[in-house]
Amino acid sequence: MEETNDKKEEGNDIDQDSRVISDIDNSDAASDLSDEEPRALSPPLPLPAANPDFDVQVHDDISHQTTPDDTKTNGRKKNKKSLKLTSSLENGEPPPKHTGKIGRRHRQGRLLMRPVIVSETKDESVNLPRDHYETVLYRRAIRKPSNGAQADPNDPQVDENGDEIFGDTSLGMKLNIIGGKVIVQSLNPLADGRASPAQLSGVIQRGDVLLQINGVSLVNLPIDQLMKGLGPLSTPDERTGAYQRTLSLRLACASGLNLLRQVKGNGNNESALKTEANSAATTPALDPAADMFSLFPMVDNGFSPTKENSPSQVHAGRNVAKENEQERKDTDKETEYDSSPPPVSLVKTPSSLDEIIGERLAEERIIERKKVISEFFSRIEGISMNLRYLEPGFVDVDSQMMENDSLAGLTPAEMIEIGTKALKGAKALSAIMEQVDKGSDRRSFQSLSATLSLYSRASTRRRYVLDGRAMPVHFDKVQETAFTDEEDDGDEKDESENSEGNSDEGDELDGDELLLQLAATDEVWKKQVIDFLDHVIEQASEEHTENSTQSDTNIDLSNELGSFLFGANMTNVLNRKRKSHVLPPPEITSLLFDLTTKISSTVPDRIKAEGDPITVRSSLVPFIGMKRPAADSNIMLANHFLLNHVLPLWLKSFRPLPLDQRRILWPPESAALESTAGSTLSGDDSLTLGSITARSSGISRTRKNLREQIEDNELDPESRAETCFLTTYYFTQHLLPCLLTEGAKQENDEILGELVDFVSQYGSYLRLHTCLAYAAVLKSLKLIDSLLEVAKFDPRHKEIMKQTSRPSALIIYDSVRIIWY
Amino acid sequence: MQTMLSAVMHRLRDIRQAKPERRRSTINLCYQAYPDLRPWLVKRMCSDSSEQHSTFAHEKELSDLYYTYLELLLHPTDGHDGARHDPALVKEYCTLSVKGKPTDGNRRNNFLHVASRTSSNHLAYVRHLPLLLKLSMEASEFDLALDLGMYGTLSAAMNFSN
Repeated sequence: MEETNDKKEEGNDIDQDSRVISDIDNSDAASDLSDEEPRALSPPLPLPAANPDFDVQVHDDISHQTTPDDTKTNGRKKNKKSLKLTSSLENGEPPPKHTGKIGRRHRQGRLLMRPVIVSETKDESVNLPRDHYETVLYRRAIRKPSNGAQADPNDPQVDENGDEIFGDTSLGMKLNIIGGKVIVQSLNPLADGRASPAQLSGVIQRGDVLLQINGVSLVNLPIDQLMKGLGPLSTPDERTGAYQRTLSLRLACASGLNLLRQVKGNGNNESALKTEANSAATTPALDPAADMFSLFPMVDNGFSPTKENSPSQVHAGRNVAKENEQERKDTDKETEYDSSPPPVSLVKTPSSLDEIIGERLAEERIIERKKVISEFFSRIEGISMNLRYLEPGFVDVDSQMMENDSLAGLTPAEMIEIGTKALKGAKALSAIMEQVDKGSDRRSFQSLSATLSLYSRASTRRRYVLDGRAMPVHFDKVQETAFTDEEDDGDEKDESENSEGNSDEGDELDGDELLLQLAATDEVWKKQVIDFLDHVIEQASEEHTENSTQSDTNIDLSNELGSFLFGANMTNVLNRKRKSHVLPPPEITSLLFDLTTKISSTVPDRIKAEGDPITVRSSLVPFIGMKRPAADSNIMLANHFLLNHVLPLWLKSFRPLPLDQRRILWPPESAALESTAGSTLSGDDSLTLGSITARSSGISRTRKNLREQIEDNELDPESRAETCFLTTYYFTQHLLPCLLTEGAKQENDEILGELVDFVSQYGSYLRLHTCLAYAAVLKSLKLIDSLLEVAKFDPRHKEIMKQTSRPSALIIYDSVRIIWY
Repeated sequence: MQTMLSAVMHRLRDIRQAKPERRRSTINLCYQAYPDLRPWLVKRMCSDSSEQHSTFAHEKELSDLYYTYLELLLHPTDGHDGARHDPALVKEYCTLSVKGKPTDGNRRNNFLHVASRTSSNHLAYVRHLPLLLKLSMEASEFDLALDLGMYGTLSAAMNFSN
């Protein structure tokens, strides 16, 4: 307290030289805590070469004896122990006992506390570069307990200074030798948990480079001398058998940190080799002894049970103040050591796993390079060297290809031209695939139906087909107004006007032709469609699995609650609606519907062509007349893609309704029947959107009951009709023609079995009239029977059966409508 | 029309168990449903040999019903043009017409409508002269057979000269 008061009193009168002193004094104020924790120091400031006006005396409350050599710390703080050790090291005598006196320094009548002695005569330390420092490691013990020295119980356990003689001799410092530099890789505690000498020094950090041991430089030494220089770290004295208690080390701050990071980042010693090779172009060839040297036991760590205590661990002294790591990074990196390349390359051998990984990576790099290198790149300037096969070890891919190729006789110029074209094509493909990945590709089937403004007759075909009307033969040449003039509905007029307006635009894309070309020749577009369907199928299966697991636990409770609130019937309807996956995705269905109607209006009907010379009147797309537009190759290819690749997947994208729920897809026409009872029955029950037709034709419909309304609204009417159309098309144009093939006669029963299975599974979606007509052409009674079984669940079939059962009814069958009196 | 075809087929499937008046209306519907409903199906249903308890009179009745269907279908004016140009159907029609009772003038007239050149409707049918010649001999229509033979010879000679 007395000194503190003095300091406060005289603190304002410090002269120009007192800056350094006050710094040291401040650090000294913290030195009292040095036994418990290391202290951080400010960056070492360059001290003046000499302070002749200093009159310094060292006073310490634990009475360290001051020596001039203490100035070797170069401004770094030393704790009390390190001061003691330093003095004992330099004098070759044991450290003095604690005197308990408090040191003071009188200067111009002022009294300051100083823990560090600044010598007026010492000049070696001040010549150190800014990033170099010296420290002293004090070994905990100097003999191992297992060396027999402890056999005599009379032997002292401690020396005259009270330090251990037998015990852990480790320094707690793991060294790594990279590129000729001895780098501190890590600091470890002793085996018994105590802080190691290197940790107690407080200044040694990972990445520091060991430059000197006991005054012996390790810079630019050959291997044998370097090993000899490192000997004091891990080798006992030959004469006494004891380790050196103190070791004076000189290190460079963080000079090897980058090397350590490179070695760690690369994971193999290749990086170390490269680093070493890059840093020293004149470095001699790698010494085979480098790897062996890296395993040289720096520390004879007999006590180390931990995995981190490798043989390269080094024990170092204690109680040296800690340097701030950030300050280390700020120090100048250029030292005389770094500027001179090491004479030998010393690389630490990585672990076996790292080595394997490194080798594998190197092999893969070579394989990848073999794939891309080409003579073409070698002949063009500005191409990366990695694309040229300049090295003799690489395989000449192009020459191998040329041997079996017709291009063998080409000149280099022609080859370059071909290569340039191929390069452009590859770039174009890459750009297209990128657009596809981004979803901005115009060929995406989703953009076709959503974003593109195409002039397409698909909407007109849809109206014709869904309304079950006869379509003109040369439909594609018919003006849209020809159809819309007949329409009474205002909305349809507007739609036709819009489409007509589109047709006037000469630059509009022909949507039908574009769709056909995509389905016929564009593999990317085809893959998009297939991938989309695969994704939908996968999603549907996952949802089905989840629903099946959840329904087991929740269905009972929900049914009971629903029955209580709404009644049993309503609960059943709601449950059916909740797990509604009975229709495929509408976007893909709409697209396929447009494509199918386009194809079916052109492609020859196989059954009609091969099965019977008489034209089937019940074709999918009814035509007035017998002549169809000629089918070109695009249509045939698109039809093949549709029937063989898309529709089989599309059928799996939804769970078909059972036969007894066919009325959901084919609602009854009771209202129309009643409105025309006794006169005319509208037979237009093919794929008509019941509500739309009734509304557009002005037929007043009777009110449905609540259940029918819910079922009617459950499914999108348009998607419902399109799904039924596509299912029927697949059945009649792909499955039924199997009976026409030559081998079908022998495997008739098997094929028929598959057809009957399909009818039992997807019968709710089949347009019965078309399927029955085609089955009649093929003379398949079994198939007709299965279709008639489906008809039993059709409400319209039931209604007609009921009407025809009247004994007095005179029924007239017409291709368009059914009339009875 | 979709459900109508299924209803007609359903009625046709049950024609053997139906009442005579219902059978007639069903056959009438089948005739109208041509070509959606094919004649082989009507024949199959009318001559189903798998039924064990069928009587001769019942089979005769059903056979007559099928002939009635063919009469309607191949009628010179009210029939279907496609059916009149179906060789197999015309052959069956002529065969059934000749194999009927000689006293059945209606069937004999149906055959003459097809075979005789004196009929104004004979060009509406597809005519197979050897078959017609054979059937006319079976029906003891020798004048018709002679006429068909001469016509066939002249036709062949003209084709050969061309």
